[in-house]
Amino acid sequence: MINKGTILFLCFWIVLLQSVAQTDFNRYQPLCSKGAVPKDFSHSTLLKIKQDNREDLKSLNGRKREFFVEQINYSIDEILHSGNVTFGDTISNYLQNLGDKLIAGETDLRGKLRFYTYNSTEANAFSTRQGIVFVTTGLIAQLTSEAQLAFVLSHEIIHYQEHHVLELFEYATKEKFYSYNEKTRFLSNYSRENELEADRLAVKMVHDAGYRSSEINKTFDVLLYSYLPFEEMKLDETYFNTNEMYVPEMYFHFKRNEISAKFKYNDYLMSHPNLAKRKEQVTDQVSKLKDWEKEILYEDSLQFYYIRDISRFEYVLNKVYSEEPVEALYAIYILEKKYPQSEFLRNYKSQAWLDIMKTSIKKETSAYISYSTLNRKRVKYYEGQISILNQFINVLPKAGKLTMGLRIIYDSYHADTTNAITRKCYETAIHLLVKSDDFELSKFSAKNFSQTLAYLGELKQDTSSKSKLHAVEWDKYAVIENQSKGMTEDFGIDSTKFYMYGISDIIRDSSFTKTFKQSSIKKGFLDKDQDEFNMMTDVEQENLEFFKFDEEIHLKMDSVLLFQPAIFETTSSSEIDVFKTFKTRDLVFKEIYDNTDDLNIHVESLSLKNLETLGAEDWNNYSMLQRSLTRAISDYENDYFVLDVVDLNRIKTKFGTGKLLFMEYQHTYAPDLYFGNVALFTVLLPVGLVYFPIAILSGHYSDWQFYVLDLKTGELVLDRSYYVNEPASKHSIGSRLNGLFHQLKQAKNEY
Amino acid sequence: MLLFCLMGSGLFSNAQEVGYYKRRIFLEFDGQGQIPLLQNIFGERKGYVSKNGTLNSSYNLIDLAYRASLNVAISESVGFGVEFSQRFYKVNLQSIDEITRNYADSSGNMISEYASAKVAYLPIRESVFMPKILISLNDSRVPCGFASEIGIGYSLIQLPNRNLEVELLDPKTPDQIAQVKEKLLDSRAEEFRGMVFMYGFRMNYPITKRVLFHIGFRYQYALQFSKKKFRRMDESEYWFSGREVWSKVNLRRQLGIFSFGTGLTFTL
Repeated sequence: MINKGTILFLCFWIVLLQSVAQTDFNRYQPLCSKGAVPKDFSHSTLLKIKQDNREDLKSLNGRKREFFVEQINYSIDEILHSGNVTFGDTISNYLQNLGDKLIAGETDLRGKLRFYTYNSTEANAFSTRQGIVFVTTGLIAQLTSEAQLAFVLSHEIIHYQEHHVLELFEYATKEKFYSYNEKTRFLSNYSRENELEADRLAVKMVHDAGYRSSEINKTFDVLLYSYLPFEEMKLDETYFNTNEMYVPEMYFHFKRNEISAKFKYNDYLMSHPNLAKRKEQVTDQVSKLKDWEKEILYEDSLQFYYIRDISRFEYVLNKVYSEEPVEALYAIYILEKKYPQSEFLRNYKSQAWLDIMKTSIKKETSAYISYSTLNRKRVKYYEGQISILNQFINVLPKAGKLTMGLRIIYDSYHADTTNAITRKCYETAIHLLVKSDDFELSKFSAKNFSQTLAYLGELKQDTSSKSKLHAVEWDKYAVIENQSKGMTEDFGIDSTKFYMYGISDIIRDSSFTKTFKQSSIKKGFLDKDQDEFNMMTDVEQENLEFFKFDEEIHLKMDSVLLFQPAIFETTSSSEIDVFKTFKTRDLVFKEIYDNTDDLNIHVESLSLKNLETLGAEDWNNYSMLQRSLTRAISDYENDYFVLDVVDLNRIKTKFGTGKLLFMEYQHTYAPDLYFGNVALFTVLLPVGLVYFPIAILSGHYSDWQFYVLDLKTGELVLDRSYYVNEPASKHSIGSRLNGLFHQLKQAKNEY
Repeated sequence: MLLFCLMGSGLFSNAQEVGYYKRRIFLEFDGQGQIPLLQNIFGERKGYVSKNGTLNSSYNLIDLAYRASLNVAISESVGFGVEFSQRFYKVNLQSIDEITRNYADSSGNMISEYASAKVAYLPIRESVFMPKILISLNDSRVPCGFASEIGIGYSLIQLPNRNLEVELLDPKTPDQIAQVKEKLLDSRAEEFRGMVFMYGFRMNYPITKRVLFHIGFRYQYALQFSKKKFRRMDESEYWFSGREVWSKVNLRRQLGIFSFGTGLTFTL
């Protein structure tokens, strides 16, 4: 019997934990690495290749063995260095504890496995030959019990224990019809037989750990529906309503798109068997084992729900960073039910609405905008409850999106005016309103929806005033004008223009109108410039565009923060040449330092050159910048992303420089000579005499990308690419960088 | 004057980043050559070279040149330069082992003479002065990386050795050989003038901060002036008339369209 005192104590403890969690999530900070840096992070790839224990690789011949060791270490390090993996954080620690418990009976595995969190919205987990198990936050966000997570971890542990990576490599290299390219791609996947084996053995591991059998099969439901948000929750019809804004119910009566995923899909050529087969096998396996539910050890622990909520917050973060505002807003809607006071959710909601507002901005027409840029975003199809939210946002006209965005961002800002992120969102929102050309303050109602409804009701009752208004003011042109203000011709409110009545308080706010006017004046100057540009001849326009292009690179840069360059040496069959890659990487670093020294440009560095010297804080800064850069690069010149401004300013202060330089360099030597054209042009020798020399001499392909991020404003100020037929030699690289730094150091010329 | 032109075009762009490590003016020294193997095997009869006083049958394989040029990078992707080159090659004047001449003597009688003879190759020295532009391919930076070059040159084609070795197969008199040698080449064919249209591509590999190595190929089309002057089938007391020499040289120049070159670039 458990006495009352114990129950009370437990209740108190649960309430305490909940309140601690609430506080945490109200001021949630993105997932960070903590503590001592594990060797997986602090050891360089070359060291790992050198120290790799090749005992288990005796079945491979010398060349294949070295190739395998190089590629496997390099590709896993690419994941570890992607900025998405964290160590020592709450989730990784939890996973490590859970994993250790699962292998308690497996003495040969003890101390060999490391568990890290992979921050991504994809629901996935994978293990490596080195004994690293990655679990994505996207998967944890979707799970409903710890038993499911235990099953996933067990499955991955079995993959490691049974050497499935190596088996697959052997299988892939035996098959002659696979190209090298395909082979590399398939290295980290497993054959379908291996998957079934891992499932089978994982059931036993979960059983031994004492979990309930009923939860195991649910894991496959989680996997099948993981493309949906982590909850299927009906959108509250009053969700967007405030004292000032009223969204009519009809906007929530759209037809929900049916969920279409099926268990029995065709798994031909897939790395995993279909989920129906896996489920069937697991059910069979469960029935073979006895003593289920004998004891429940860790199931449904509070800690699991805590890390799941962290994963869900990270889901929001990732969706906002990857510019998927609908998913982000739906996730925020779910999380707000539990954490209504969360500052994090407010910030991310503001940014998601900025992204929606952005879609209403007319793209400036320019001769240099390609068709593909304009049509980059595809219309996304949503299933389930999220499709209602998507349809609501889609059906809003441009002015509606802008107004809804302004409303929500304004409210977020006024919930805490000291919050630098919401303030920046608010300023950016006003900038977008002005830029859109579709936002006229005078058209918006000075009364909110309910006030207007009451006022119009009164007017309707007063027949004399109604007829008077009709006779005098509501002629054809007045009707048209009033329609644009969201009124019907019979004194009603046009509910499709509900947003015209949603910001009456904002347009009365003098600080808003002042900022709006200031922004409009600036826009006026830009419009004037644009008008002047439009009046120029084609030649003048072209000259101006070229001048601007040249001047863009003149950033008057005296100091720079060098971010880890992404450098790849690839072979003609597109594989990474690991050793050459590191050689070229060192060369690039050396040339950067030599040239900046010559030009007196001060360089600070946040790179992975000296891995052993990096601490957890450096890794966190690295991850943050990696995330920011990815977002900035994905939408250059049309980005209104302000979430990271505070963090970037912190980096600016820490390193004492306002500009960050990131470069990508890929080199390969692959002359265009293969059997077909060699044979043909040998027969047609006069053509060959032209073709062969060109093919041989132009066989070097070097692809440079340079990005400069302004750490003060968070904007990408330079995106330059160069594609050259040059070798990756010291002075090819050196002279290119010399030219670049020269240009970066110059001050802009006035036109 | 050339330097003045170069400096002028250099001032066209004052951006510091142009050139190779800020240096925009560069000197190039090249060797050029070709092995006209196919035309020797399939197209042309073997000629003769003199060895120890006798004429031996030999392929006509020598075709070498040296080049020197002064260039300036006027933007990141374009350079301008002037080039001087001298090319050395040989022409086979004979089609068969026979020499002939037709001429009117002092009394007006037409004289036709034949002799079985071997005549050595005629050496040619072609000096070319060529303004050219270098255009880098893709985003390479002149003078580094892969580049095209285009030029139009003025050629002076000279015959440095007119005193060719001759061997009569059936001499009628002991001093006949001296007489043949005396009247071997038409004095009108002293030198020729022409033009060269050149397109080339090359890869410039940097070696140090001041020196680059380059390797590449050139295609050239040669034009020879004074066609009208040497058009007529003229009567000449020379064994090889002006027309014959002109057309043989012209034909040889057409064959050398593709050549290989390599050299060093020094930045100034």
